[in-house]
Amino acid sequence: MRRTPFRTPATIALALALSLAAGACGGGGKKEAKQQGDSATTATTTAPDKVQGSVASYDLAVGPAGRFMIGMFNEAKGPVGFGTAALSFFFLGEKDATGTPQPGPSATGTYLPLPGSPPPPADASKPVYLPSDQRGVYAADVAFDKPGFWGVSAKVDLGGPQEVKTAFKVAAKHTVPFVGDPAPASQNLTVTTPGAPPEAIDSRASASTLVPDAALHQTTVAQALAEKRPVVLVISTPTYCVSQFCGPVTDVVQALAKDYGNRARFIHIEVWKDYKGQQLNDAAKEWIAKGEDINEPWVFLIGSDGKVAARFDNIVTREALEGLLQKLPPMKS
Amino acid sequence: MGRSAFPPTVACVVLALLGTACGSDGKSASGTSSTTVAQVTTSSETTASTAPTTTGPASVTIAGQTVTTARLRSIAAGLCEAATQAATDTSAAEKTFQGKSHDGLHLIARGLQDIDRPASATLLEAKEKVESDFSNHAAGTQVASHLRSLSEVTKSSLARFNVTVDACPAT
Repeated sequence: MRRTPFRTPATIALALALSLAAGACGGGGKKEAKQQGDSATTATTTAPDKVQGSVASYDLAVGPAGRFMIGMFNEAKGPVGFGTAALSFFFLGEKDATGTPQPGPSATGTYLPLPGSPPPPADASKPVYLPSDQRGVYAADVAFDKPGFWGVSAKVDLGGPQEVKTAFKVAAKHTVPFVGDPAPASQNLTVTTPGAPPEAIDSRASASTLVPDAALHQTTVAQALAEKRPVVLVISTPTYCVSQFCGPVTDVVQALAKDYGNRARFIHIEVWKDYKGQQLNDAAKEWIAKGEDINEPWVFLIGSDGKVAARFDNIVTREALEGLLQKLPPMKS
Repeated sequence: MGRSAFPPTVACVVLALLGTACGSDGKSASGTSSTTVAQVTTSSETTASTAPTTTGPASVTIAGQTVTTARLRSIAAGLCEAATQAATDTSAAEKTFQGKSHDGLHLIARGLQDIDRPASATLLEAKEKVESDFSNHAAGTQVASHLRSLSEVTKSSLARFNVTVDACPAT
């Protein structure tokens, strides 16, 4: 039998590691609020002189197509950006990655720069190595038909073909509300919640520092749902984000709230009630802590019907949200 | 394939990832890597990096990733460089901060989460002050001051992984 690309010892090892990690952490003991970085949900073959990859998606599961994202970089030359990446997916096994890879879907990943990135170059059609202060991912909508361990081969042309292979886990079901799911009617903390610690409303606030995005902390999800208002909900921890793709997601939503405040309610739920004590805010728990891992940031658009209309894990651009907001009719006051 | 068939280096990857995912504080049998105690993965080195001059491990495992100490020192050195630039050019300082230090600080904070959560908090809070300064176009002196504070916190953070770096040069 021909040795397939995913049957390298390193790849099998990392898949096994993920398998073991999932098994070890999924027990019925008391669940700690454990925030994961991107590397905990993915891993990649590593070689300093090659392009490496890191899956940036959260909550991948069997079902309708969802957004798959992978970031690529070369330790010496910098992050890879622009152009497209050819993505091929392979099923590696239900419990580990030792089976024969089974070909799955293919997709073209388009480049998605992190918010705050400088304008693209005149010719953004080809992948290039970026300056080290620029970052982004390649994204494509992909549907997975079975749970377990999957591999992705991402190919880019950087003046010569470069291929990244990495493994990741696909769950049987989403653990974070998906498009079409009813939105949890959270009683999130607001600036008027009696006795709420400022840092639990927004991790940038403290007894001596005001909540910087107070406009996003005026109402609860429950109240907005009761009023049948669309909601843009950002669940994030501006201070304690540990994702390698951390960007100013909360700032993006705050800026949109100023321009589209007549289209939807805008709400920010801080992830942590007490980061040091590993205590999550109850509202954040309702949304993003049903599974084994806690990943953030997330942005949801909730329709006036109370169902999730769109969701964005880890990375969202102003343009993506703006396109959705422009389709909403102005709210009647 | 049995697990014992993995080459030792591959087993390290497994153990490192396990440490990341579960917050294990155990050390691997081969003494190679875990997220709790930074392990020396190769023999000691003397680096030619700009910031530090001390000897130490050539690489450490942080949050499941093997990172060279040269890279960690580069992250710390980037903060000193940005602090120097901030006095006269905050845009250049931000570019240096984002390009040389930002991602690495997230990695260090992620690694600290499992071994010293208050230290992780302190690092992220210091980083947030700098980012807030850049967002709010704060005065260069304030940015420089916060970058220097962040540099000190980063130095303490790296010490948890047995990586020593020098303080920023006095201005």
